[in-house]
Amino acid sequence: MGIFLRELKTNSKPLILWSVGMILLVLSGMAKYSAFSSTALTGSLIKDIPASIRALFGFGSFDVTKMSGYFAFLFLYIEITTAFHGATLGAGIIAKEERRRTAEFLVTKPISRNGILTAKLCAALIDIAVLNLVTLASSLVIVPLYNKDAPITAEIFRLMGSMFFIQLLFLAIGAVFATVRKNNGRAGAVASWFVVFAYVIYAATNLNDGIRFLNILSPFKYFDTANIASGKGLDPLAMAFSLFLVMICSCIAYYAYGRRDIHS
Amino acid sequence: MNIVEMKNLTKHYGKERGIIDVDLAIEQGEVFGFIGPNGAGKSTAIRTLLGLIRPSSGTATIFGKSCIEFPQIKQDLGYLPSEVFYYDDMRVIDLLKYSAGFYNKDCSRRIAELADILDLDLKKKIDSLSYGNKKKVGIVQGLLHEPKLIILDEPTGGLDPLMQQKFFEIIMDENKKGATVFFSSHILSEVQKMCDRVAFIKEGRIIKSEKISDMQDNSYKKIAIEAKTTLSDDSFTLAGIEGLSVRGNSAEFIFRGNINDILRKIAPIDLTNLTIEEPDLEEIFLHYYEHGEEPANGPVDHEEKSTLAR
Amino acid sequence: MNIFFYELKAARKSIAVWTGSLIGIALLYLSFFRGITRDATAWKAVMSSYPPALRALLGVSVDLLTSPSGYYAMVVSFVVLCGAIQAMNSGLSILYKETQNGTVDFLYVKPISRMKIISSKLGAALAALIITDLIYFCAALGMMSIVTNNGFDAKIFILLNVPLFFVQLIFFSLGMGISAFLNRPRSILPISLSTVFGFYFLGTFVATDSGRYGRLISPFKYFDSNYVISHGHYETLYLVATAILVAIGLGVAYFMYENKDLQGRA
Repeated sequence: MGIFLRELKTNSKPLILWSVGMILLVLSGMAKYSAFSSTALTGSLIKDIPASIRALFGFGSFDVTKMSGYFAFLFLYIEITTAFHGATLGAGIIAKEERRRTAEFLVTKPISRNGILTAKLCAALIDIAVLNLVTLASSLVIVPLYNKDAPITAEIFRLMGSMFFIQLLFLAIGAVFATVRKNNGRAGAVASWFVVFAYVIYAATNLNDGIRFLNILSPFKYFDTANIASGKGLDPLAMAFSLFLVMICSCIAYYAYGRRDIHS
Repeated sequence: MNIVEMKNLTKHYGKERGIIDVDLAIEQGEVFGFIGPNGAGKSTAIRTLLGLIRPSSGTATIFGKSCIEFPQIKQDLGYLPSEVFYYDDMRVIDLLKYSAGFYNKDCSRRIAELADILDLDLKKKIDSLSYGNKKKVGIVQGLLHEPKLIILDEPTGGLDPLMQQKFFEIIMDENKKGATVFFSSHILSEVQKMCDRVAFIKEGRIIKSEKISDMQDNSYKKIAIEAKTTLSDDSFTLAGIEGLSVRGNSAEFIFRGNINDILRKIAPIDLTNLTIEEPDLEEIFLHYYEHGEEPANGPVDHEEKSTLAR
Repeated sequence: MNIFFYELKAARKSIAVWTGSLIGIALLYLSFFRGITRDATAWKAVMSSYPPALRALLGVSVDLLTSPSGYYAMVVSFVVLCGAIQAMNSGLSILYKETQNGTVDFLYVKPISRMKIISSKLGAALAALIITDLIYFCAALGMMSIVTNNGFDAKIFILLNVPLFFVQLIFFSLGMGISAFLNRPRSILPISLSTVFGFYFLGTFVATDSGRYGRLISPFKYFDSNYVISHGHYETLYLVATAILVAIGLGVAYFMYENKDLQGRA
């Protein structure tokens, strides 16, 4: 319990910074919207753009002249940010003990390795949930201020829901990196590179449909944002798959942490 | 010129006390000990001397110059910090060569010599070394350029007794060659063994600064005797005897004064055993730790009194 | 001099990783160029009817994106983003790592002034960035030649690449200036990532239609590719801004480190 509370407390300041950042992101994204909405542009014109070029701009199959499409476009940036947050949090919360040489202190307390890991991951879970809620809330508040079309409240909820799965996944992956690698000083960096890698795959498969099979490597591709934007619910297969991966990563992390040699 | 000089050296950390009005002078060729409890300000004083931190007021110089204004003066300085850290991914020999590169002389022979004496494997990676071995790297690093001033901050922490011995030999060798040694410690026995002079610091201030020999001369001797016949108090009436305890054939007391007087007093007694002990520096200084000054009758702590009174 | 060579040597692995990453990004995007140009014809017609603000957000103008220079400008914007992270990491850590490692007691006790230590490290870090950029440049040159069948303007190409170094300079100095204020052990990666991405998003979403002075908010917008392509040189205002930022960052770092109390291990 002590570990859990302590982690929450230590992470509260960075969490606030991240939250402020998210709010600013949503705000500035929305401020840009006027450029898109106040045009004679219609969705059909956008459909005229070849798929590859639309992908270059990240539009995908979104109609960025309407709020629902634009928000989906903005959503990618939001998701990348929270992915970084989740990955570095997952890696950092474990690696920092060894970085700060407090690992020996912690590990020799009358608590099992599993207990330590659980406490930390629970605290991290709270953090990503908070970030998600902050993003959700700020979107719900800010979007209507700029929205001239139909409200997209449901869409926002669904998107944030899908984002939570992705956050979970990156958190778990970050944890794996920190527990498996022998010298985990760089776990945060590796986890960040993984986020970048996932994004690159995402962008690449958008540009070139032929390498679609690589999508499995990129969590950003698990949920089809376009489908969510157009009103379909969250894909149960994607949710199940994400949770499945989270479970596998967690098992790996627990196993690896349990067997880890703690160096001084 | 004093090799090391601190005048009114003061450092405050905001409202926290660092060191206050520290005055110190070390002459060429001395081995100078700097003792104090944890947090007394030893490291602060040394780090200010080295230019790592800036004094709030006062001056600290080596070879007559400030390290901050004249960084080149550190050419003849060797420093071994209390905690030794180095760069990841380096081999011992790489670090030593990197260190040697800062000095205007060829240190390769000396590196090999020192590594040999300390039994240090030059090819190993530093992160794979134990703490004690890392400390050895620190020792070699501090001495490889044959410095004229050697500053050591708690040097023997982490070394096994054999290594401690070798370390002392190396330092004393350097001292014989003319190097001045300034070292801080709270292991009184090693200070007692190595130093010519000692300064004692407590709560940021220098309490006392004195030659070891003077300290011991001015101190008492503990004497215990066992005789063939029963002893009586009368045999021990002499000025300077204190804490006398006579029991049957044995007597114990402490004596302060001319050693010849007490020997003449004891000589007539038919002895089976005689023990004369120098006071431990520990006993002297524990007194300072607690009371802060030397009382007139010699530093006797209360535990001692009760043992003697048995 | 000792320090300079040591630092450079210690940075070998980092240089390799970052150079590889920059080249990888360029490789990925350039490989799609042929496909894009094929799709471009239909698209050009569509693009011309977009409003100016929209076009500004996209960062490149109608005709240019499909031209070799225009497309490369887009590619290089991602490369610059990546390079900025490298530079900021470098700036943050080059001085701060001594505190983090606890090697302050080793290095700063050597017979060398603090100024010299800082300058040597600065030199090595900049050299590392320059090496990265040069290798990247050669690779990019090769890739562009292949992908466009040598059909690109070499002078413009060079002009589009140089901002990589300028932006890196800015983030490097920023990092070095910030590092002067760091005292406790902390991971520097979150700082560089959030700062760099923060400016990047600021640039993407805020700076583009705030006019000339609005662009000053984000170094990523200082060297507008459209301008470069059409005018063949940089805008003075932003060159000056770059110089000022670099001077401030380095100045702060020098001043703080010269006078700072250095602790053994944070």
